[in-house]
Amino acid sequence: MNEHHIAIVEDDRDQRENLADALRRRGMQVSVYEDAKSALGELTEMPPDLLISDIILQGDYDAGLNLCEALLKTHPTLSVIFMTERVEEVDQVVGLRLGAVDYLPKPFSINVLIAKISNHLKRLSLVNEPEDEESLKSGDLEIREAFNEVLWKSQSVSLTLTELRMLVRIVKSKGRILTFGQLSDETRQSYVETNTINTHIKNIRKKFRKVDAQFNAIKSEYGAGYRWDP
Amino acid sequence: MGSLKLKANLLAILFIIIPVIAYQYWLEAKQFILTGQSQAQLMMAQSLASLMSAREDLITQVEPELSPFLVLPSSQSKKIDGDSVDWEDNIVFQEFAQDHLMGVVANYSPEDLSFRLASVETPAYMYLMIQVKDDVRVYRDRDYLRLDASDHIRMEFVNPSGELEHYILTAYESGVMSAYPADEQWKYSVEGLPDERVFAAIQPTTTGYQVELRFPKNYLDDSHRMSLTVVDVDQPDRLDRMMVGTYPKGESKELNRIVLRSPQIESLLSQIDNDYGKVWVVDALGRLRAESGQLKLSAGELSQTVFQGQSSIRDRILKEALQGQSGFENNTHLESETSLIWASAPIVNVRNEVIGAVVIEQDEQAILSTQKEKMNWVLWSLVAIVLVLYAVLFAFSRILVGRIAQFQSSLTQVIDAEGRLIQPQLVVDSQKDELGELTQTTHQLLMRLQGYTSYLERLPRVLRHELHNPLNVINTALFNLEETRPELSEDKYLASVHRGLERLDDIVRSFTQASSLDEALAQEHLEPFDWVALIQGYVRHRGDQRDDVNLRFYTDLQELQLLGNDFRIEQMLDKLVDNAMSFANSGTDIVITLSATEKVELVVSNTGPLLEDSVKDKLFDPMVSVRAQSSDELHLGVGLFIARKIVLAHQGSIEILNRRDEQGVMVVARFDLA
Repeated sequence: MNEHHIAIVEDDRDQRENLADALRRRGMQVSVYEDAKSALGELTEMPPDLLISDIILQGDYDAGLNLCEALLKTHPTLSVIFMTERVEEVDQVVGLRLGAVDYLPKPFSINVLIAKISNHLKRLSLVNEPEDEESLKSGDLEIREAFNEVLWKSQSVSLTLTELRMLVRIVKSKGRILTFGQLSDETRQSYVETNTINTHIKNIRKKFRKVDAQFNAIKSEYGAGYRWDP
Repeated sequence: MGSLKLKANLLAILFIIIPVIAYQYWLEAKQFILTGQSQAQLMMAQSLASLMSAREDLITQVEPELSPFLVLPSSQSKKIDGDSVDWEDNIVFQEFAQDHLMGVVANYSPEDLSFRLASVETPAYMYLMIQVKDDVRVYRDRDYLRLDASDHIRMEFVNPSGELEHYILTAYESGVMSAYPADEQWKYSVEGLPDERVFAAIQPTTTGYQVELRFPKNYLDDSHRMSLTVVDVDQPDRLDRMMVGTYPKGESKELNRIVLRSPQIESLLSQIDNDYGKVWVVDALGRLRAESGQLKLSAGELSQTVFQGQSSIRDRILKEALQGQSGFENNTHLESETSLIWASAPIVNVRNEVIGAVVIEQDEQAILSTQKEKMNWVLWSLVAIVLVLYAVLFAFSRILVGRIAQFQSSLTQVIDAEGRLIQPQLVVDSQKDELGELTQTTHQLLMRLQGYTSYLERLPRVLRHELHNPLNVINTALFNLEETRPELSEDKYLASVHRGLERLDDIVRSFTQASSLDEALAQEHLEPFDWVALIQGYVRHRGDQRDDVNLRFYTDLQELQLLGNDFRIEQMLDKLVDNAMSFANSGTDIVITLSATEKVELVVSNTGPLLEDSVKDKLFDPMVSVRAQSSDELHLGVGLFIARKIVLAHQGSIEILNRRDEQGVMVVARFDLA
């Protein structure tokens, strides 16, 4: 893996060092910060490729969010992975910068984190070196995953990265039932409550219904999961 | 709540005692005043009587041997026309018949000749009414000069000069009668002319005739002596005649005594200031000699009752007085509007003989009117005060009870059926009394309780957050350890650490799932969906964790569109089926049924051990589990708790009970159809 610069902001020393060690062993250039202030000072000058941040820092419940918000002003292309489950709040802060922001609730598996990091870095390289885009089409739906672009009846639908991945998975299953277990893989979380998936699916439906009130292509299969039926 | 109001009302009723006591007091006071007044009245009667005894001459003009006839007072003058219509109804007549026959008459019958005499007086005149029974009426013949040749009436009296006067009353026809001063032989007129000052009139009646006569009282001297004789002539030319006179018996020449009211006594009485009473002076025979005061009796009332022996209180005490006893009495009754007090005293002369009596009558109303007015004022004021007090007390109790009720209702709104604080904002009674302080104290207590409750509610999340960090430390450390020391990957202790971590994860998850449920449920919206399809899908897709138990669903419904949160209903089903799976006997079915009659009823039933009554109600509480502790799976007892939360969020109810066949347990959730 190329020498990507990854910044970790985490006030817990053990977690911070454990994470940094694991990433460094994978050849990544890692800088660590224990508070938002020091991180902001350095990172504004020397922006990383990817920021991994806790949200609650030094007792400040929104420190991670505020740091991200400040950095995004100067570096709009920054990718961020939050170590949190406060999905709604993060979405409110980062808004339409879809795909660039991801979540990873604690406790997580480092393997999952590494997978997320790889995904983001891959996206970065795609942006930098555009190649033939792979387009996924099903009925009125067109997904350009690499660019986080979703079109329904030629209208753009804004989805978060997790939502996008879940949608791709559902669509790719071609009408078969996609179980909660399968979908939870797409959240890349170590453990996912069924309701978390349910909430994601509801949000996806809601976003589609903003452009098409009649949207009903994601069917619930009670007790099992979801099915794509455009 | 109502009993407090009732108690206040009962207390208020006690106020009614005050006017009752006041009324009793008034009655006592009234009795006291009446007794005092009666005593005063008696003293007055006695002093009047002793005054009278000094003037014995004024009273003792009545000698029984003179056959006195009574002249009653009259308030009005009479029209002299021979008619008695303008005479008082209760006028007293005295009868004169055989006993007063003059001379010997064979075969006398009262129809031949008899008469009744009544007389009244006004200040200036005496009036006489003479009703004569006479079978043959003979008027005076104009051809005859003699006055005694026809039916006539002889009047004999002593004039103020002490001389005896003779008058003859005759008439030529019915109507005016002439009164001639006559000679001593009762034959001729002295002067030939009638006395114009004596008015008389005659009217024929069916049995004879009646004569009405008026003459000035000053014709009589102070001794009031006078007699009348009715002379019946049946044939004008014959001198045989029948005569009935008023003369005392024994053919004496004595004239009768006329009992008139005594102006001297009356002038004595008039000097007594007597505003509201009346004084009578009667003689030894009970005849009225004088009266004064405002309460005038109708003529003859007193003497009539005396003579006829009626027993009214007044006449009784009059009789007692005439027998020599003083006394007083009243006819006070609570009900009677007018009540009277009488006092009487005998008039006794120097020889200790009763010569008459004084009776004083007073209207109690008049005596008591002032006191009564004042007492009434006091009574009504008391009643008004009591009413006002009662109203104030009533209003106060209403307000108090209202405030308590308001406090109670606001308290019940603050805390839900589960004892959780819904809203800590109690409606605080701002008044600065005990009740106000109670609500304020309660409010403060609730605020503190809310602080504690919110701390408890935050606790799982805080705990989760705090546990997540060390868990993550261990996770990441383990990862690094395994990566940097590949030889440890098979280490059994490391595997044990992993298992421990997983269980810790499970515990934290279970905690947070239950605690975040309320918040999540409150934010989620209900949408209509097909419950039948949901349950069918659920049963179809549920991956059973037990191969020896089948999950079945029965319903008569094709479709049931009902408001709800599909995910939550599925979650609830999941918890109920999980629970049933835990207890189902091997080789049996878990049966879900759905029906919709009055309510939607969802039943999950399994065959297995029965529940003890003691745990039935508690099973829906958190952290309550009846599973065997040996179970490998983690059971925190939150499954049914979560199921109940979801049912309540759908405005439903849930209960767990033993099946009727006593082969197992069923959970019944009920929801409204609408």
